[in-house]
Amino acid sequence: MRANLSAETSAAVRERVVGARRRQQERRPHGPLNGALTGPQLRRDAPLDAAGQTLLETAAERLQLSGRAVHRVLRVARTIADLETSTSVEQAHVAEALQYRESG
Amino acid sequence: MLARALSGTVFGLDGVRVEVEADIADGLPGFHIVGLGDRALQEARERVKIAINNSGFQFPGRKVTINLAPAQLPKEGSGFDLAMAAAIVNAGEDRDLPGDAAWLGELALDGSVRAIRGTLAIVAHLDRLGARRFYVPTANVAEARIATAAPVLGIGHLRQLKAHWEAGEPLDASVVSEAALPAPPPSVDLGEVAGQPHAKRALEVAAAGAHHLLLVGPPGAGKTLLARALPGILPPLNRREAVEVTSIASCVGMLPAGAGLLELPPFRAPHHTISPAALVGGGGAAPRPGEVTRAHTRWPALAGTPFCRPASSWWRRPIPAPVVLPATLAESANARRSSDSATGPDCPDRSAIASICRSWSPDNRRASSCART
Repeated sequence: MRANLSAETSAAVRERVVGARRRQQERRPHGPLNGALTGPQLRRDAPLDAAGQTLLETAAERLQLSGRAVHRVLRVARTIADLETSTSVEQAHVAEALQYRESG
Repeated sequence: MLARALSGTVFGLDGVRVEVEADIADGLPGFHIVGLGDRALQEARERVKIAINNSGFQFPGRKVTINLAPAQLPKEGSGFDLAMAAAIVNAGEDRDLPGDAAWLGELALDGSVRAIRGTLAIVAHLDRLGARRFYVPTANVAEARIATAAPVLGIGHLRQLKAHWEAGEPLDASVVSEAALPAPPPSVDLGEVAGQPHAKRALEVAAAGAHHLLLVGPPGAGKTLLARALPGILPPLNRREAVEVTSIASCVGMLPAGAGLLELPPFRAPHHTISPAALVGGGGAAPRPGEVTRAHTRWPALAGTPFCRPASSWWRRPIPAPVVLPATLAESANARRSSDSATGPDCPDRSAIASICRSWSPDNRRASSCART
């Protein structure tokens, strides 16, 4: 436990969070943050690259994700992409978003 | 003889315009208040009468009737005292009060004016309806100024009004006693949390995109500790969010007297045996906001929330939907937004991000997960 105490501080994490928020606001100055994007907004704001698209489709089929669940994954993936200053949503972002699902 | 004074109250979280009419007529001396007032409002009879007499005015020895319009709206609280006193004194002298001046405040028996709840919401609403002058308790001036560009005049004592009306003395528009803002919640630094890299990352993602977050794990795994680290990684509120947060705090009586805009996101940690109504709001005649509303911003945080029934079945609705409307209260408190919860493992609900806190063990090889599969 002691060995782990050299972890990143809140200030450093906060800096990345503020950056990600800024990118969301640049995209939608008066709109919602990623967590509240609607389906049509997601289609515009979260363009998937080919690999990401394939992964999301496979996952949706394997895990039997509902439409709502797919959107939820995509919203989280959009945020992960924002944290990594990527304009499009890539395979790695979708993969990370999928593992935050409570079951599966 | 009749006089009217503009005032207001809160219904849920919204300001409502209320007109206070005072009539003085011949008949047996008495003081009646009509217009669906609650107990605190009925007791205003004693407060207003004694405060008027103790401030150099004379309470009329005739039949005094107060009507609060709209009459069908249930009204509560003590915020109409000042409007009633102003209307009664002016009715006695057959003088008209300006129709665009609003009066808010509770009276003490000696005539001093006490702070009320919901000033921000009421002033904002009356400002939209065209009120151009606000008389409010001194302790609520800073709050009222957030909501309007019109003159806000702080009144500390009824005697100031007497001097104002009779000798033309100006009311002091500058008195603002800046109170200390509430201390920020004790925030845990992420650097002090050992292990749990996966959950820390989930915290970061949720904070960045304002996603719902559910922390699941056995007792002692660190869920609450991680939740307490949240305020430390959140960006400050923008102006609109800050106004909403301040208005809610004011409506539920959590805004310190004299305080202006709150700039920190709220953090609520309700007890895990909390009732459904206390969690999402509810009430009888007038709806009351619950913990979800008190935690409102774009990204509120609740720690230790129960996800066991029956609270969870109420919780189900606020998570995907932006507005909670209990079926019986169509005009209810706009209990808005979602939350983040640290909770025990028996969770029937789903969040966008469910991070599993693993039991800590010296080498993490024996880490056990308690996620339901």
